[in-house]
Amino acid sequence: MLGILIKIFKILNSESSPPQIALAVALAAFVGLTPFLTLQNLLIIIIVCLLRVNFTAFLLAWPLFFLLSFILSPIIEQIGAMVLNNDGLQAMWTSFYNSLTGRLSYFYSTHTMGGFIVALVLFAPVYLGVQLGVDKYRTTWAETISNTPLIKALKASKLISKATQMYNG
Amino acid sequence: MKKWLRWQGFAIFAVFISLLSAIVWLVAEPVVENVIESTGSQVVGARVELGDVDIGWGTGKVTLTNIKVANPNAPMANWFEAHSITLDLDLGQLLWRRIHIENASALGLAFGTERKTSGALKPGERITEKISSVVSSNAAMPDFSLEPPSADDVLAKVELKSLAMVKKTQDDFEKDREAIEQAIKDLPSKADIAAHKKTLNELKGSGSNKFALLTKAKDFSKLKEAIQTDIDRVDQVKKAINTAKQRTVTNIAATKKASSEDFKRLKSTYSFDSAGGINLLSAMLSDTLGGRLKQYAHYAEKLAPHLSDIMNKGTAEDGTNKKEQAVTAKPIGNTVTFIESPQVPEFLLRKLAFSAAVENTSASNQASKSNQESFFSGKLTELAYPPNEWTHPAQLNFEGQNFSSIKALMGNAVIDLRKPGTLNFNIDTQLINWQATGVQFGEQAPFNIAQSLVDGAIKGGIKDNALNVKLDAQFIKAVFSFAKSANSSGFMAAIQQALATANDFDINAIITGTLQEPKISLSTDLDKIVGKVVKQQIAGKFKKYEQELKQKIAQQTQGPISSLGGLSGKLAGYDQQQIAVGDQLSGLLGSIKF
Repeated sequence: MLGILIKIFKILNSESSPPQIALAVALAAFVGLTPFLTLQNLLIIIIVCLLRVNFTAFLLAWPLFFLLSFILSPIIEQIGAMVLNNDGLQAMWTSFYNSLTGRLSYFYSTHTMGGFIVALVLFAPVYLGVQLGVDKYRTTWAETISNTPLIKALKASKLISKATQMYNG
Repeated sequence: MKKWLRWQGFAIFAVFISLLSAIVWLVAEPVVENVIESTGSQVVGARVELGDVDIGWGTGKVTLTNIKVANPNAPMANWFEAHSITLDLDLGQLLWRRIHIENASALGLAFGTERKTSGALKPGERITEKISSVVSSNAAMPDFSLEPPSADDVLAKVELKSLAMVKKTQDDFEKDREAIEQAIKDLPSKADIAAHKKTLNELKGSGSNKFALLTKAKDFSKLKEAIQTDIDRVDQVKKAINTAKQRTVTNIAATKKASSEDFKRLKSTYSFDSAGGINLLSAMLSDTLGGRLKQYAHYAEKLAPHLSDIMNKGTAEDGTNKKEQAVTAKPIGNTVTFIESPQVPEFLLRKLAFSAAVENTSASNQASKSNQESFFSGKLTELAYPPNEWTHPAQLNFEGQNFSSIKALMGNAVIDLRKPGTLNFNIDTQLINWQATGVQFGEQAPFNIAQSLVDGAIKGGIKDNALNVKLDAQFIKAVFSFAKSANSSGFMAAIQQALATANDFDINAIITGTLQEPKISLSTDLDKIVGKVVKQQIAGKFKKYEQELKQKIAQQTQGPISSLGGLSGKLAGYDQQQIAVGDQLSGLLGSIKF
């Protein structure tokens, strides 16, 4: 838990811009909320690698969204089933199911479809929210938080650990 | 835009993919091994063990080595083991999340091998199916005792038809008599006849000239009509009496006949006649065969829900292929399957070739140190799941030679699982020099065929749940074995003597009906041999019983039947009454000459 907190503060204090962090988190939602082995998740990982987004933020947000997918599982599956069973969309889904892309995307799973829709809906709020949060942190809270006893203690423990390592050679 | 792109990301991606591949490469084989062992154990109900799993990533070839599947009913033995099973997977179909095996081979199959450790899932656990109740549910076997029953005991159990006929004859007579008496009461009385006479005399005395008579013509005619009506009533009574007489005579004859029929019926029902003996072995063998089929039916019933699940996969209630939901483990969710065009099954095994090394324990082969190789091999093709998404039915072909008990065996089966609710299975098997041992004639028979050499064929199958199988077995050599207790019986000693020389005989069976209710028509040459013995044995023993039975039936029926003899005489009295009235009326009518 402490490690996660340190990583979060590292990301917040990194040189990455708020949109780079926000995009990484928003993209992690797609991978975390849907089953991993799908074509779209591979594309998202390529995007994350090629775009200058914060990779650490992506790797940190991914398991968090994965945990969230367990909590939201009933809602996600209901949404997926509703979309897949929609009479008006049957022709489209049938044609998609009969394509290799359709099979590799695994969109015929209620969890994949529901998770993808939830991630899509959350994309803008997550992107904007994280961006706003990082901005707010850097302009307003960074100074205050770095002066809190907890952060000071963390920094001190970090300095002591580094000093000990140097001393031990 | 340049600010957002990082080309070194390709390297990150490559590292990421390499890491992922390395994990899959390291973990896949142990995971596959574990999945096969755990799932296989659950399905079989006993340990399934794998020595090694090798996955050829570039070729799609999966090799399983040292497979051992324990027998759930005998945990210290394997159901079968195989040296290796190789599967050639179609990698293209894997992308579509389908498992298509182009070629599979199972080498070094061996059945019933011993295990060093128990194959039970839990220590000491032994799963044994109780099917004895299924097998023993057949009809009772014929009694081998040829002691005749007591005539009194037999008569105490049954109702004689002849006595029932006596009662019927008496009842019919009573009804007829009542009807006749009622009719006679309605006949013209003496007063009525006297009135007719008086009227006639008055008409005749009213005048002697022709003119006077002419004026009374109408009155004469009226009288004539009245007398004729009375005569008709007398005729009806006459007819009724004749009918009653006829019925009584017929009933008495039928009663007498029923008495002899009673004797014939009770003689054949409660004694062991030659006809029963002639069909004795056929009945007993049919019972054994029926028991075996019921055993298969028991297993078929267990398998049916699973087969039904397989056959109905992807099929809606109206028989059409429709999308459906298949539940899988969370959080993967449910998968919604849409109509495929063209339909391709999720699982397809195009060809599985198998061969088994069979240990030859044949005494003759060992004695002659025969170098003939023993083998059992075959192939299973076009096995698909769901079956209705494939164009061909599954087929099984097999052949083998030089087994310990069968010289040669070959067969083929077409297993069409595509039609829900039906199971079609054809088999054509030939047995050559089959060393059949312990062939039972029913459960209670005190003898069996201990050793025999048989040539035979089993042809037919199951179509739409209906059996149609022809079984021909030609026994070339046979040695019969008799229970010790059977030797004490004279009858069994005679059979033993007769069967001692029965080396060469046929057993033929036609099996129809269903597995649950098989109808077996079985014939065998042995029945003639046994029938002859039965005939000789029963010739003297049952004569006394028959005489006693005839006598007792006569004692019970003679009195009542004799009493029926007086019935016809009683009707004669009614005859006289109607004749007297009829004669008087006819006389009157004759005297009217106008």
